[in-house]
Amino acid sequence: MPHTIALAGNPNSGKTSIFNELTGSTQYVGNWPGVTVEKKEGYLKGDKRHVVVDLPGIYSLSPYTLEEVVTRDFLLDGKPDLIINVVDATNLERNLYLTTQLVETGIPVLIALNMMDILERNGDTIQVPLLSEALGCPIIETSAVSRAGLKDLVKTAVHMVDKAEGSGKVAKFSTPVEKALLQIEHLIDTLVPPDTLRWFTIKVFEHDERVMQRLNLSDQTAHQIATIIESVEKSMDDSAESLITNDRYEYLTGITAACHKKARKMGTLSTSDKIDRIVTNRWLALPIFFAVMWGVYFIAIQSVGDLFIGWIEWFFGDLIGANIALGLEAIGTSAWLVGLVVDGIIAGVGSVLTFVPQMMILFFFLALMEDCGYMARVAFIMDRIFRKFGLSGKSFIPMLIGTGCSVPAIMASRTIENQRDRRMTVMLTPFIPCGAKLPVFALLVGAFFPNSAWIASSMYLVGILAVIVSGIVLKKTKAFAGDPAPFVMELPSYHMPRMKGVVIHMWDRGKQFIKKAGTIIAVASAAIWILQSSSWSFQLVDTQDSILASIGRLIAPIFTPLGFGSWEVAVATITGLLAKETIVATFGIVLGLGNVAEGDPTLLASVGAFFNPISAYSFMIFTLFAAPCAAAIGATRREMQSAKWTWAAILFQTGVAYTAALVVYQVGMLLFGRGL
Amino acid sequence: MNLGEARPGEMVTVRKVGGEGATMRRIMDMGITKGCKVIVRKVAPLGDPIEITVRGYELSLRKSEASNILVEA
Amino acid sequence: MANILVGLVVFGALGAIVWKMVRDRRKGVGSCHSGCGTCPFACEKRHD
Repeated sequence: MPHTIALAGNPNSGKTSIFNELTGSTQYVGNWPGVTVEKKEGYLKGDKRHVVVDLPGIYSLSPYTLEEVVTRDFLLDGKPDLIINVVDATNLERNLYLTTQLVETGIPVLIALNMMDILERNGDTIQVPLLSEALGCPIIETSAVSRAGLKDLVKTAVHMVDKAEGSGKVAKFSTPVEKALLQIEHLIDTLVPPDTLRWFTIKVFEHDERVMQRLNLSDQTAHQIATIIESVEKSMDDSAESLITNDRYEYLTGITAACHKKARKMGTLSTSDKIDRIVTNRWLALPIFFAVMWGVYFIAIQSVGDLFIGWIEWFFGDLIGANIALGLEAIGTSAWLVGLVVDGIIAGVGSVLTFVPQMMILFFFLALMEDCGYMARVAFIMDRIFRKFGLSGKSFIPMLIGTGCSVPAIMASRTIENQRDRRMTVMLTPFIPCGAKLPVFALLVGAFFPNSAWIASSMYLVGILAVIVSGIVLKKTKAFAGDPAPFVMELPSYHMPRMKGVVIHMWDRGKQFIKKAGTIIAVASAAIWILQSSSWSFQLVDTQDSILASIGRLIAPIFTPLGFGSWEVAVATITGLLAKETIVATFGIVLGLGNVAEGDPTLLASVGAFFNPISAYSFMIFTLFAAPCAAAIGATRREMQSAKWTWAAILFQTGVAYTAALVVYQVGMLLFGRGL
Repeated sequence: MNLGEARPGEMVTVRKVGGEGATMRRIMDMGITKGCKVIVRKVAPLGDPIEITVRGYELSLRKSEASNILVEA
Repeated sequence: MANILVGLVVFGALGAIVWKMVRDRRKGVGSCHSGCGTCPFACEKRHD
């Protein structure tokens, strides 16, 4: 049996970086039982005797959030041999607040005092031996960025596990509280193991419902305890919970005052504050935000991204496609097989790969914004607007990520504590046009609106509008009614983004996308090509008589009121469920477009048979809102943790898509239909 | 006076944290406790939420939440 | 002859992809890189 080391700490304490450095590539990602909180495990590098479990980033061990409950349960029932507590040295008091609670569980605690390099740069000092003495825990100074102290950390951890050294010093509360705790201790000391007695006693004093349930006290004991607490609450004129919290911080203030010297006085400005003064300035914040977003999209989609598209189209169409066709024909391969390879697989995969660069650049900037601390400010700026229609500013972050891809966006909704808000965010995030929907828009805009830049951008506007309207409407329903969730959120200091992490993140996303193109899209392209060139008796036939055509004709009438009732388009909406990129691939194969550049006259000629400008716009609207791709539906299922809610989301999205497209087409035809 | 009424730039001392349940606990867990000093940094561009400095770091909270925190100058 | 050869390669490759996709799904292989730690939602992972 390997020993278990739990890694605990505040969010933004650098815990994840430390975990990555400790475990390297041996990580295994799973879930805590029954909840959507992520559980990461891994062996210490090159040491199979010690498993490190990465606990969720938390501020406290209260019973109110899922992450905190998961952590408590693991510490009490998972019986780790050691807790490594990552503490942000630049934010000592609040980080140690968690430490005092960890110590109470009776498990030995080793403190990794992280970000020491930043602390020193600020000119602050911490007398580590003094702090260690006061807390009763060994402290190793670390910096995950420069990897300083990590070897020492591992060595000390292994040593502590082997020797099973005792726990740290518990926080001392004020005399009346301590007196009450002592009384409670006597009442419950037969019910819990001795090393966790302090923890249970404090939780009982705090009226912690989960602990009360677990202890299952007799009526008499429960009554005795209630009397003890009541008398303290009365004499101190405060609730038990806030007495404990107050005293805990008081205790810590005493310790840090002795060993933490700050160069800067409270109220003077650090560099981070000066940046913040401009970025979240009353007048500048919104213009800066829009400028940043515009800049990101200009670089990712327009300039640099567009440049790559030309190259990739040339690479797949002219170089790979044409030459393979020549080669296969030269060795005497039948036309249908050449067609399958070149017009099916290569054309399909190629049309999807063309916008990998756009996606990667987009993700690069989103990761950059997250890493440097701007994302939290965006939530801060936008909260007011979002609360108006029932969401919190935290919902804005998933929506922003949703412009890249709905899958990580839906997963990002995890940071929203309130379940109602989380569900609503998961439901509405796919309304924001993701990277994969862009080529669909680009294709149709290129064909019908080549000279108007605003048609493509209007998709973002329409998406945001739909989120707002849906938010207001859903909030009126019973399932989503209720008070807004609290918005008590840390705004981490700005810092230079860690380029390594940002680039890895970008590469990961790109890699997944390429992998998808090489697997699911390749198979789907081949399947679509076969379906569209063979009959039910597997004879090679004209597309008009193919299997695909007959399936398409069956469902096409559904879309006739929306203006795109041809079987070709009907098929594309179905294949779009696989991945939105397949819509483009489907058009490419079914319409025989191959790799035509946007704005090419042949494109308009072939697409023009299926759409007019109004039905093209209606189709774009339908694609924007309809049930997302399979991967996003999967992510929805995971975050909702309920089949019922997943179906509700899919039906809601598709219902909105159908209605919106219907309105656009019918009203559009009424207004402009005569001229077409 | 409550924290929601304090003006940007003002340094105040917390007297009492009111409210109940998860929100109150969260506020206190984040370090806003009786006797601690808080500086109101700024108000978000649209008037809400506010940003404060407490125990050496920046925290944002809505005015409705801040109104549960009694302070004095 | 060329038909059989090319057909074998193409359908063999497609079959292999499908087989691998099904197997990965069953085994629950995540596609997360260990390096993307700074962001809480960096990677798509399987959760059961």
